[in-house]
Amino acid sequence: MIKVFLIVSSSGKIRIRRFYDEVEFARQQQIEQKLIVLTSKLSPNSCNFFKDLDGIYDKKCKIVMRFFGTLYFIAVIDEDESELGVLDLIQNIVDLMDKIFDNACELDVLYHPDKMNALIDEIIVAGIVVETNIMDIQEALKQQETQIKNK
Amino acid sequence: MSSGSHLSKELHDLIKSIGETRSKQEEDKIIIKEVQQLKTKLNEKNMPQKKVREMLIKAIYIEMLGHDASFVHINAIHLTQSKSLALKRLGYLCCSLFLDNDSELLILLVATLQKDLTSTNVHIVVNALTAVGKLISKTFVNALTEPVLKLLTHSTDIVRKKALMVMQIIRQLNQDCIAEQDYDDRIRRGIQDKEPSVMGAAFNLYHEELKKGAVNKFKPLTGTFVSMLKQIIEHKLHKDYDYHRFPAPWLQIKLLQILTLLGANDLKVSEQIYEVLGTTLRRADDTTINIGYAVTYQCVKCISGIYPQQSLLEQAANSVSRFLKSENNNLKYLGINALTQIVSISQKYVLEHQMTIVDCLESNDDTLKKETLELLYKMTNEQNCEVIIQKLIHFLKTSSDSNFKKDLFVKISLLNEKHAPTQEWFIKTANTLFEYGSEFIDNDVRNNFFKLLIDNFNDIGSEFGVFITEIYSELLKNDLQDNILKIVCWVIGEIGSQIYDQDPNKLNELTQLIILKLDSQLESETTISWILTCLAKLQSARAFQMFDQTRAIFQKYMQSKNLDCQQRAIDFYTLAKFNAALKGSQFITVDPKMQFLDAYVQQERQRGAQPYNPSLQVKAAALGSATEAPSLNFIPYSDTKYGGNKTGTFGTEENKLTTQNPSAPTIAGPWDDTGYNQKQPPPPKPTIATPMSIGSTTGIGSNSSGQTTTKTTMQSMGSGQMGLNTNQSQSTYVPSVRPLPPKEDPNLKEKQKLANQLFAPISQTQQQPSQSTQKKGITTMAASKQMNSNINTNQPQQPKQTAQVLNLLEIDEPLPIQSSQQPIIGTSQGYVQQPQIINQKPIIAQQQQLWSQPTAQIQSIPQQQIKSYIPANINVDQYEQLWERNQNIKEITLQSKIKSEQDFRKMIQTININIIEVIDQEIICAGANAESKSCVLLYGSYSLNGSLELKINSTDPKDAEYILALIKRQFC
Repeated sequence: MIKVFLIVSSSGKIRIRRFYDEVEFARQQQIEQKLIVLTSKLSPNSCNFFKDLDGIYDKKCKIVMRFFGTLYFIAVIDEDESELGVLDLIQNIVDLMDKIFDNACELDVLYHPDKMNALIDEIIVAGIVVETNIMDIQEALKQQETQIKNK
Repeated sequence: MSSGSHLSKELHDLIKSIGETRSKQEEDKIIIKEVQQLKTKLNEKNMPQKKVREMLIKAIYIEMLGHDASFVHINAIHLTQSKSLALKRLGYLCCSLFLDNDSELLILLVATLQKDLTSTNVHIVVNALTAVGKLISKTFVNALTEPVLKLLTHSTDIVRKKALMVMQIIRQLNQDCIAEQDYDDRIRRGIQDKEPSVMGAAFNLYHEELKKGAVNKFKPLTGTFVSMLKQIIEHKLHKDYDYHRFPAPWLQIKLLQILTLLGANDLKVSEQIYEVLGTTLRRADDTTINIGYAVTYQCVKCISGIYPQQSLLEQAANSVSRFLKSENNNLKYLGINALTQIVSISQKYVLEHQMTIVDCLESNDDTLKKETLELLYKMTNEQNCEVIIQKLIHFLKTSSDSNFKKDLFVKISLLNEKHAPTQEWFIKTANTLFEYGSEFIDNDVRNNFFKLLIDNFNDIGSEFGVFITEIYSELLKNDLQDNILKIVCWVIGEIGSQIYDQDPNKLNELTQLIILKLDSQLESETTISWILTCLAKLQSARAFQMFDQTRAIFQKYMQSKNLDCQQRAIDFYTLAKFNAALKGSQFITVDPKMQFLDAYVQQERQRGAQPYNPSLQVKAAALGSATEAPSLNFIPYSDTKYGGNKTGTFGTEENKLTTQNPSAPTIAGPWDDTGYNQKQPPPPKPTIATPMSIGSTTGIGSNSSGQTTTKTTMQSMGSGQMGLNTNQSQSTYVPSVRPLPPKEDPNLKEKQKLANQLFAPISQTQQQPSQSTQKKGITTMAASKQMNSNINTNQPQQPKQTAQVLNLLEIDEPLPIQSSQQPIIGTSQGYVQQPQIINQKPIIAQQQQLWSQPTAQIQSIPQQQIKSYIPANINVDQYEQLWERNQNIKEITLQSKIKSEQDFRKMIQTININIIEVIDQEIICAGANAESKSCVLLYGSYSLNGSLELKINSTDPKDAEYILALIKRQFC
């Protein structure tokens, strides 16, 4: 399962924060800071996976990181989750953002936390990836938006 | 970009100003100002919806930056009651983000949630479900279970899917909410759902259940999952579920995870899986997209997780090896991980890719390097260890990353210990390793290495000793780093001095080399301490001649500013005097019978003194209160009467004992308040101060406690364990730590065991005083190793000879050169020992028996004469005293039928003596010969595998032989 999903700007500011296990706010911030430090290890050709050897979240966990534009997408996953699967999931999320925000950028994430979170909620429920079909998610989100607009 | 056109300039400005701040302080200032504005505005009534929305978004932003925005929580809850979907959604989102599961505000939310879950608007339901999934807690789980379960049959798939997930959370929180059967039915209906997305969600629930351990319950469903996977890979699902034309990869991954858990350790289930697994792997292999690799990886994980199947393992290893050759580091990483999994099942398939794996170490990616190292470590075996270690050492040489080097260093040394093909190779590799990784040598590494060497030395004997001394004395001729020099010093001092104990030329040569090092450039003063210690050890060798030089050196360093050096120099200087004095000591004979007193005794007796009769007292001891003879009282006095002063019980006898052992005024036996704490029952020596003190470096047992100083230091040197914890190495003397099991070793052991069994009665008789004297000195020699050292007649016994010198100081041991009774036994010893090695040539032994009659006699005693024993009623203290008085100790380790205390008791009953005390697996017993009333003390330690360690101490050696023979006949 996915334990943490974060979107962080390249300046080290949190843009989206989702913790799927109960974690105290203070510890959440510690974890975030350490993960942000870890982003410095990511370079274009390096491996996107890290083992959480230092126990940032839990020593059994793995960390998947991916950089798009100005945003780092970080997922902390447990040992069962497939690293490569999550990497493609991040790709999926970015594709969806592009479709919903029409060429997404960091500001969209900032201005529309509600839409962004709704998007993530469609894909990850309680830390488990429930939907990966972009078409379905897009459809569901579109319906919501039209309803909001109509009212 | 769709900029927030509907958003006000305020939010835009806030975000912009935060973005422009240069310090945390500036940011904090802005936020504090903003929070105050928000607080006042939120309290205003009739705020337009749009404004409220914006304010909440600001609050999210503020909280995201790590500031407190709790003032807005109540507004978020208000918002959930809004009729507008947009506001409701934002309200629920804020609640999910801001509130903890135990927040008191949640109770305000329950009614709204209940209402929204039953709404006719799908999107309201979905949002409410999402919020329930995040916020549900034990306190109101009951209130929400019913509406959630109803949604499982909702007409929209998005709702059914989410309801399934929420149902799982509910069950996790409170099992009573949904009955097990009901729950199982509902997930089963989930996988039967016509919508694949709901089915996918249900897979997650199965996976979670399986992870929790409900494997057996779901095993019957294996077929269903297999056929689902089959349908997916055959493109039976709708095209919508393809991802880059690859059919539903995430569903495949999930199914593979489920199958892995179902098939683990179960051949029957696994057999159902093999076929589909092979096909899935093949199809995934055909793609060149990332997600295809993800499926491949999952297949490999599955293959290594279920009951192993050869062809699949091979297929998996081949697929994965392609990952390794990829340019993409992610794939390499997964490849390494996958191979690590396969290797734990079987090394065979991975070994082919060995060199590809090694090349991954060249990567500049830290994660990858670490994983590779881990894999290499796991896949190294006896065959490939030379190649792999060579490669690893190459990386150690070239790498500049010190963390990685440290890892490498540790792994190489472990591998070397485990798999080195020969001792020579082991030592050479260790030296290369130390050379390139000298910065990583710390006390642990060093001590571990020393322990390995000394264990090997004890096992293999002089050959190994000569070998390593040669290697290290060669090394001495080069310039060495301090860390390595320390090791060399230790080896030369510890092993070299034993090996060349009798060889003055070699000793001189070694000493010269070591002394030269004192003049070389040294990094730290502690190294000098090591060198001094080495010299001290060398000078304790018998053939050492360079006392003048060493004394000069010690004298020089007595002025050293380094306290450690100084202390050592002083100690060793003093020792040097003793060593020189002891040179002649081998010709001194100590007469334990004190015959020089005979004349005096004669004289006294003529004057009318009572003759001294030790057997009287032994008898008394053995029979305890049963004797009528008015003799000594062996029953303890009550504490008050006794006053805690134990001396005096034995009268003059006791005094004699105590004067012999000045360092142990009270009875120093192995049994104390805490129980039995030493292997060798009667230790007539001052105990060695185990935590070798002085300075930071380990080793060197100079104990500064007054008169015992010299003795203890010499002991630790003589026993060949300086620098190591003597007691520890003794008690942990188990084969598992032996790093270099020489190929012939097990055989040899077998032979020894056999020889032991065949010839034990004879060899036992041979273990007359001279033998046991030696043994006592070498505390570190485990009983089982005795044979080993006996084989190589002279050389390996040298350490013992140093020990012998030591025993001279302790007086009461019988000595090799003895009075008239023993020479026969003494001479025959050399021969009768031989059968242990030359057991194919019994002729020699027979010949021997022909012309040494007494041997035959002794041998036949146990069979011909039947002795009987009676129990002796004594206590532990008396046992100890008796033990120290008698020195005819027979030690033997047998492979016996005795595996429990009961067995042991039975054996003791058969002999008809009685048990005095039992502590764990160690038992002491005492008895007396029914005829002669001579005393027999027995110490036994059994173990569950049947190895039985016995020590029999008897006034009359024949008793011990008889009992041993009895035990061997009936219990081995």
